[in-house]
Amino acid sequence: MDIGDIGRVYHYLLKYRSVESKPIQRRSRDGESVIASILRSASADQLDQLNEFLAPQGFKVIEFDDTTRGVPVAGRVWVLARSEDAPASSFMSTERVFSEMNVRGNGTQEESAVWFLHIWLIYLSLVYTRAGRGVSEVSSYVDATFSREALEEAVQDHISHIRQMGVSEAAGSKVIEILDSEKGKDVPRRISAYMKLMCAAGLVCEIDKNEYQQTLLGAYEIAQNYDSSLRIPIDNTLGSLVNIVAPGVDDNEVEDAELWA
Amino acid sequence: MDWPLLLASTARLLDLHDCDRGPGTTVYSPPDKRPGTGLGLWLKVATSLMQYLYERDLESNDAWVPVEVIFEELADRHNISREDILFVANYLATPTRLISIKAWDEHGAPERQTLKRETALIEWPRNTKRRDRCRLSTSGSRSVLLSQAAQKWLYAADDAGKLERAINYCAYGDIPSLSEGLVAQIRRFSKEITMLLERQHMDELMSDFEAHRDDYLEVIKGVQESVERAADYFGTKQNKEQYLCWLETEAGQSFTPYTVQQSFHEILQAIERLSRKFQTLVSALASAKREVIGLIRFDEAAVGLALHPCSDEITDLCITALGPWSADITAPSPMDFSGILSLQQESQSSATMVFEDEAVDDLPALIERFLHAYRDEILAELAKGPVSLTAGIENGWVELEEVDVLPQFIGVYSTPEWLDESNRDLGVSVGSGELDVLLPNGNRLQGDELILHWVNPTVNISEA
Repeated sequence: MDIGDIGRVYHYLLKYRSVESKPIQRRSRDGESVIASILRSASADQLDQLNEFLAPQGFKVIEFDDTTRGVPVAGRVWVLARSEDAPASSFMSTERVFSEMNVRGNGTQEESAVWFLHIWLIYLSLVYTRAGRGVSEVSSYVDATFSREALEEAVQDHISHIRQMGVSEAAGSKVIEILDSEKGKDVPRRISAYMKLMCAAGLVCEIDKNEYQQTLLGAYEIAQNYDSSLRIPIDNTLGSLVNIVAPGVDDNEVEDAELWA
Repeated sequence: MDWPLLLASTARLLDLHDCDRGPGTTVYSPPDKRPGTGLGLWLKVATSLMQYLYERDLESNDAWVPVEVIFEELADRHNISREDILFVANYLATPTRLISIKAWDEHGAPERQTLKRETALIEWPRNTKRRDRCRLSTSGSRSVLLSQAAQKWLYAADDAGKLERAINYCAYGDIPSLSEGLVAQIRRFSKEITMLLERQHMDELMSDFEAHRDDYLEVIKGVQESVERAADYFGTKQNKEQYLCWLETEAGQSFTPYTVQQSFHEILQAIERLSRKFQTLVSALASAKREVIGLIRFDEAAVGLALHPCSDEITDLCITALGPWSADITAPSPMDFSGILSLQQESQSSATMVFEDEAVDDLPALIERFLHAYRDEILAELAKGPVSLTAGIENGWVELEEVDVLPQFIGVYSTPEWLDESNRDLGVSVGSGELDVLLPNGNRLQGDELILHWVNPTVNISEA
């Protein structure tokens, strides 16, 4: 792997986030087999060098072989993952999240962020909580399938629930105001925007029309970076949730909430 | 003895066999409940009985076992009567009929295979009605063996040794299936390691790994050595000759020489990857670094974050660390140069100039409409003398049906033959800085004046 090869691999990974030597759920992308050959023939030292090049930019390349579920026999998958040890790259932007989620065109960045965060958490509840899957269970990404319809239904349920709770518990919350303001086709449009973002970032892939699956990259990054990111607000809020929800819920729910308080 | 696993893996197959749905009939929902009392008692008695008969068989080598002895052994253990044991033994000894399709003939008709005798797991003495002795049938022994099949990695070294023996016996046809079995064991072991690395509450498995860590490493090493030895042995001159002879036999004809080598190669690759994974586990165990994150109530977190929102900074942090991102590099985009690039292309292009409206308008092109409207007027004026841009603008030739046609009018000065293709004697002169005219839309046009005129006025005036 010479410097030109590193350039090719780097460019490809920035664009698609993953390389599969034998894709089984889709056709090979343009140039993917060449990139896979470069990575496959690279020595351990050369892969280390590639990672040394990526480290200051906040990334690392992780190789998965066929001891990982979903990787075909003798196949390999490489993913470009954000490193939990390094600060985010200066060229990494999340601006697209705010622009894509602004489906009405006149929303604020705060509205976009709220919508993204809530659809994201509901998506995570589908592929982790409902499946009884721990955050560290990377290899269960092959079971993390969901339909657009299921996600939409779960988001609608979440909003209805928030509306009911919001009135009595925290009527002044700006977030509730934002979620409550949805009307017409807002939720389907926001879910379309969400899925578009997640697919473009290689965190989710569409395996059939309106049928999706978490990717290996998506599962790996959650397992690696959860502690330093989502855990902060989630641990914080689940602690508060016990106090708010406890009087009106049954024992099982209290048990769950206390578990993570 | 792992009877429940053995039964669980075959229960639905038997249900399907017994299912009364015919091909192409209506939708059928398989029941999740099984018939019977659901106490599990008869299953327990049956498996205990078979296990007991198996043990006696090992001692006595196919001797009949008196029912009384069985009764003494099992009655107290399960609190059942002699009749109960006879009921179970009778049930296991009565054959049932299993039908499967073996193949389809050349006309597409199924060739059915019926199994009956093989379904009896216990047998009574033949040619007598006495039911005071019994023993395991061949099928019964097989099912006990199946229930005991060891899937543990600790026994994999024995399976690897079979490869060498297969070469020894010239049983080359068995090598791919032996290899597949070994690779399957490697995968299963690898999955166990993955579970340990990823899941919580794996204490039993974790204790097993801690207790047998060195044994597991030894097995990995042993399997690797066995396969390498087999591969080396396969490559010896003497063996190669035997193998080539075997390839010419009927069994070897479906084989390619490469198949066996490929089998060895695949196991060695798999064992190498397993070894790396095991090392990861060993270092995780040694450093107590097995940090596993369990189940998180994301649904409740979503409710919580609606009632008690986190700060914008925290949301940004989460999206940056785990959300979708794109590469936003501060460099010119090709779109920034689109105006310049298109001009450069136009100057070098041999293609005919196309105006934007042509692509979307069913009407004639704007230049055609312009010429249709003003061509005669312009030629009439030219017959009188030179026509300047200022004069044309003052004549109103820069607007057509409220559409701005200034570009088309100026186009006439760059390509005068548009006015009269048959005559190329139209020329354009430039009056430096003389243009200063107010356009109908209120804009002012300033610069060099352009003047259109006949190069040879005497000839063309008459024609015009």
